[in-house]
Amino acid sequence: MELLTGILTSTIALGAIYAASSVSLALLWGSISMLNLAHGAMIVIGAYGSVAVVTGLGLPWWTGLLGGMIAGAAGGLLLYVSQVRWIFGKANFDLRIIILTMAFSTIVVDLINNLIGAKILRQPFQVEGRFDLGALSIGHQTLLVVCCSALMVLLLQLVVHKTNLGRLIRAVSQDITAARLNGVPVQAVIFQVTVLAGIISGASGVLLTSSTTVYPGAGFDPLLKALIVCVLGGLGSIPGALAASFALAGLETTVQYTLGVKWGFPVSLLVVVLVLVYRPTGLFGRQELERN
Amino acid sequence: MTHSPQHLLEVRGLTKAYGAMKATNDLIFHVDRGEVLGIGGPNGAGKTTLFDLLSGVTPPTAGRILFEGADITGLGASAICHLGISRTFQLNAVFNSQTVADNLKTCAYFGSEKRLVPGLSYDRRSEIRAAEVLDLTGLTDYADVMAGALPVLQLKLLMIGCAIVSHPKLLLLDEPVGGLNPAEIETCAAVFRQLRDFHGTTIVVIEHVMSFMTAFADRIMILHHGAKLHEGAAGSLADNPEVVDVFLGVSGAADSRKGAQAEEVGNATS
Amino acid sequence: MRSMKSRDLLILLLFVGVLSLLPALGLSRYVLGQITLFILWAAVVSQWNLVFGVAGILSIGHMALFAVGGYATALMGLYFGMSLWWTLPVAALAGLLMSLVMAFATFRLRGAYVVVVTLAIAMTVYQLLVTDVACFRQTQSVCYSFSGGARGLSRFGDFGFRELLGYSSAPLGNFYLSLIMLALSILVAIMVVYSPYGQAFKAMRDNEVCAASRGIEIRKYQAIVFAVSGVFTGLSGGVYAGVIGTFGPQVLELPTLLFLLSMMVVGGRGTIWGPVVGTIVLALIDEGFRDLAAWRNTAYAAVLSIILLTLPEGLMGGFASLRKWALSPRKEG
Repeated sequence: MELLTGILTSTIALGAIYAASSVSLALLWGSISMLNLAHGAMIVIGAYGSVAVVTGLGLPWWTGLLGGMIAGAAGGLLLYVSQVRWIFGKANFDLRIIILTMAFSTIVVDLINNLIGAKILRQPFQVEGRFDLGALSIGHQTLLVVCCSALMVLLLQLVVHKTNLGRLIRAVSQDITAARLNGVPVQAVIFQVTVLAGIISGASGVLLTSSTTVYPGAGFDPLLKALIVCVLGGLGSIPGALAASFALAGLETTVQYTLGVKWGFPVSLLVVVLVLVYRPTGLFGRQELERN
Repeated sequence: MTHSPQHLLEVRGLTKAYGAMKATNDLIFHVDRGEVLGIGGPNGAGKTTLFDLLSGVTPPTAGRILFEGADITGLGASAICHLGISRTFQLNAVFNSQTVADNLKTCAYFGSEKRLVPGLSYDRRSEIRAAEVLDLTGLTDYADVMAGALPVLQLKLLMIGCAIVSHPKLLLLDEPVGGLNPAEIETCAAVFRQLRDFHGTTIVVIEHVMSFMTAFADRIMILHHGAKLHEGAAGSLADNPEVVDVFLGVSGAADSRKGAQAEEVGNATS
Repeated sequence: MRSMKSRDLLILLLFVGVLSLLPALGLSRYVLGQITLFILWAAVVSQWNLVFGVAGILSIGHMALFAVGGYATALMGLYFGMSLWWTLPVAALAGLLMSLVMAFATFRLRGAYVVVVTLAIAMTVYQLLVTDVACFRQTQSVCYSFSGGARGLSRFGDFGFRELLGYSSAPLGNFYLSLIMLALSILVAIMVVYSPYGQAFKAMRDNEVCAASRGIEIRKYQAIVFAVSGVFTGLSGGVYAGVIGTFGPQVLELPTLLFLLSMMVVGGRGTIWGPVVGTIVLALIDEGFRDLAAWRNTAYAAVLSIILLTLPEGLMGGFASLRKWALSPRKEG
């Protein structure tokens, strides 16, 4: 019984983190077909942003999340200005942006390594304490992370479905030529989407590293997990990413509890690959017949 | 079950559903050896979907496709190519990074038979076939031009060339003359007539240009919402009020009559 | 096309010929070692290019093929004490098997999905290696894991050049072996690209549905391109292990991945000589930043970014455009 509650709480905690981490990827791919491999860099930027605001400026712990979001926004801005802006709509955008964002990520990690140092830091966005309800024991931090993740995802859904920006994003994602012809300021929309994605990635970086540590390479593993989650859920589908987050979290946790920690990722990947054999565009992905 | 004489292509109850939407709805028709079947219909009628089903690009949801009496339902695109069915595409589809000559050789080599273990160079037969089609389509001067750099007419001719270089028994043409001026249409039509008359290729052609289609096709089938709306001789189109209503319009009806008459005159004088 | 193939074979002959004369320049041990290293990278990238550039399959897990080849050689040398020459066929086989795993995993996938799955497969191999801490051998107080874990393997033998050529000339043996590997890799690439196989790969890349409709069995040729590159990449891994003397999971880390990807992209993917040109450029950058080692990654990431933003077809594409512009007829007046 304790094993099950342990798995359940871990699944919810991990799933929430995966969800927060992957919706930003889903947003960018869904709206402008951009596989953002700089997501890991945004995560790290957000994490360090939180440290900078709280430890550096001496502000209260909860401002860490805001610091992460601002840092993430800056990262998104930089990404747009240095890469997306120039090649969006040009030939082979999909492939080029994948490699470019990988390069971006490398540069960011180098910058952090060289300018800030590789010292392992503690994420200040934390609360202590646990709730103990009989057999169930949940840390306050876990609850905080889950709540913040849920809030973030909800806010994103609100933006996408209820705001003007969301309407424009959906127009651009469906048919970019039609959007342009209808007077949608495409570049401005893309700029906002990239910054928005940066904000979410940065925030998720704060939440993620709150239970681990902050160091320059902290973004890569979450990036990989987020990629797998998005691919399983169907690239571009935010509901898909959510479902896949919890499914994968559950699978990984169960495997880790039973077979051992190191088998968590390999088994999860195997399952995802098998799912993709039957549904090549993920569980909720767009089934498009491409005639090139 | 015996069929005599056997239809070259027989389609029984073919359906392609995307959820609740039926792109192809319980189609039943056949094509006989040596004839030209035209397929028309408004946009979204399911014409290209039908070609995707026939050429193995998409699997049907229900129904059967028989080619030369054998069931080819559900076979993949390359298998169907090897059986002798070739197609062209609405959006120009050639291999842009290769020259015209290489395009034809590649299609000749891989299209004519299933290559279990390809060699390290093309065989003589593929090279000869490619040269023949180069001549037939009038592309000899463009042999070493990159396919991606071709003007529109030559691009279409190349695509047609790649489709016929494997000597298909059945050729599916998807809007082959769309966007061409009358002189260019005639160039393509000349190639098609050669295929029909000298090579005995059976042809199914989707077109919007009614004058071309009614002049070229023996029978015409009109699709609407994935189902068959009308099937009959080329001249009979304008006589079906539903067809005129849904698809032709008044001027289209006049065009189709003109086209059918031109073909009759052509047949009478030749 | 036949003349282009002859031209490229001639270039290969000249290229290898020129390289083979390099040791006569009396280069230092260090420089010769670096050139040897980059010769092996060029061999790997030339094969990766077949999958990524020629066939258009966006696999970024190629280093996994290299890694299994290297580990096959290192493990067999370490545990069976055999001469590394005998391990090379095994390294090639390991590369082949790993490549088929990637092929099957990505058969129905396209584009970004291939990127993610192949990356994940390579990272899984990396993780399994790095988390291998269980004691496999024990010597006195030191515990060794089966694969060497994060530290990797060393002292598993070599190709015997020290015995054959003497200590000071041993690096020459490594150099020429690597050069043979590169020549083989490029030769295979030339033979493949100019054959019906290569045409099938390019057709798949240009327009997959059209290729299938013209009789090209897509899955078969996907498997073939993976398999061919797997054999020769695995082989390169084995040679690398024997030449360098150590082999560890570092080859699977992201900086290495980006480094090799840069060689392919900067040079010009899909071309025969792009990988070689790219390797030379990246080697120069690497050398140039030897003193500023902390900024090395940034240097080639920046070069890669600039090339992708300005010359998407890489340097080879740039040369081709330049040639076209130079040869185009000038307008009169």
